[in-house]
Amino acid sequence: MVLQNMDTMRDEKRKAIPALGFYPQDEISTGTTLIAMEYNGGVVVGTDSRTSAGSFITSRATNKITPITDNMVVCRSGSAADTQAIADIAKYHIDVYTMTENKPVTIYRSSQIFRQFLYNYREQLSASVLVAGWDSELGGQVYAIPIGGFVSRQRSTASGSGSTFVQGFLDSQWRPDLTLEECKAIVKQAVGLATFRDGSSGGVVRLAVIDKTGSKFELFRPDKPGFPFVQTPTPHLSFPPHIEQVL
Amino acid sequence: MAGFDRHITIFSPEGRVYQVEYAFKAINTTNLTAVAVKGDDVAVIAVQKRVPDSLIVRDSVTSIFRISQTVACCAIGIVPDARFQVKRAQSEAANFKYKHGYDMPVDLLAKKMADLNQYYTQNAEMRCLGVGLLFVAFDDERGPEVYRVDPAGYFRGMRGVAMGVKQGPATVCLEKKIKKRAQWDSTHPAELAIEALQTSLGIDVRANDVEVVVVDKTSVRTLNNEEVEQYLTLIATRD
Repeated sequence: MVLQNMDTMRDEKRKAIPALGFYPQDEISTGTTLIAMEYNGGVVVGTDSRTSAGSFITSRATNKITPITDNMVVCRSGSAADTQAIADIAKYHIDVYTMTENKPVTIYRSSQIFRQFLYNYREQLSASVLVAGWDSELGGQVYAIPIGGFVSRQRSTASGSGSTFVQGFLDSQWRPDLTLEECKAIVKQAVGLATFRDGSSGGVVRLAVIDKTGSKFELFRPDKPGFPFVQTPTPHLSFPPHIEQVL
Repeated sequence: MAGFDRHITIFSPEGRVYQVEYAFKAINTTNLTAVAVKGDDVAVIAVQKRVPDSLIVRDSVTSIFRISQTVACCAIGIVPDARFQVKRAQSEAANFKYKHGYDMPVDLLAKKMADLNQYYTQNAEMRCLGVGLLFVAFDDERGPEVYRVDPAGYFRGMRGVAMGVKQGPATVCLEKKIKKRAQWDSTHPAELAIEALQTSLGIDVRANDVEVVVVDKTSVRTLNNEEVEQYLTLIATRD
């Protein structure tokens, strides 16, 4: 069943039918900003935390960084249900291979496992993921898998509806040989800037750093220090000066 | 049908299923013995390691397998049958985790493997597998657990169990020591398992002739040679 966008449905279909228990709801999507960067020794990923159904925010503190193994995470955007289901089934396959082969599955192979589902079921799914992690073969790796199932390894990438607002920012900030702290600062600021402009992104900023020792997760709340605030300029007056108004 | 009771899994006139009994005998083909013991906060399996041919790569020979994040097992008997059962157990545990969202408890896994073994005893198209299985895990509700699964489809949780060629003498040694002990600390189960193995074999085992896997609350670990050596020294100096 293909889920229709509520805006294109006819008005009769949008009306609730309480007798049947039908109340129309927009598909729940992770509007999202996902940023991921490789550095020498691992990867840094950052996300926002807003899940929305149309203009209703169904969850304001979602965790879009889903651990798959101790050394790999997947960042999810698109349909919340689709990405959760894919993350679960890919994790299952990766767990089986890890047990039967008695060694960790490489990040490249894991990205191919994700691709298998995202490509073969592309008509039924609406999912775009970033697979990021560290393995002993190639070190820190980020693989972007947008809708449709194309896999490409990236040094620095952004995904989700908020990504469009920070492509230029990331381009200007990336240099070869960035250190861990520089990467974290760039990723955090990128999430903050995207959240500032994108209505489907918001909430808290979640960061994850993955290296050979494993994964470390951080949370930055707007009411606590460390949150990437964007300086809002003081606005000009809206009305001509003869009208009383306060800035 | 006359005379076929020894060839397929049907009853004999005395009520025995010969094929299942032959499967038990097949566990001894590799001449190995395994001992498992559970304590208050760890569970342990110690199994003999024998590399029959000097051309074989030593590290590729093992009877101990990791089934999931929380469960380890020892499978002795016909080696290809053992690998088949281990792979099935890994698949069942992973499938359970995917479907239900939490790690498969070891008692459910042992039950599943036992039920599969029973299926083979009732069907003519598949023979029994000549493998004995010992599962160990740290269950988050019941603590350390040891389960024994045999080719007949019988499974039980055990405090201490021996399986294989020398299971008789090893069981006698376990019964004596387990009855006496009221409290276990975390090194005793491994010590007891290795000691029972040593006593039953009747010879002094060397560290690289034994494989030991230890399961506690947070990890599943195979001991390396130095650690096994420490236990062997402890046992030797104690006597």
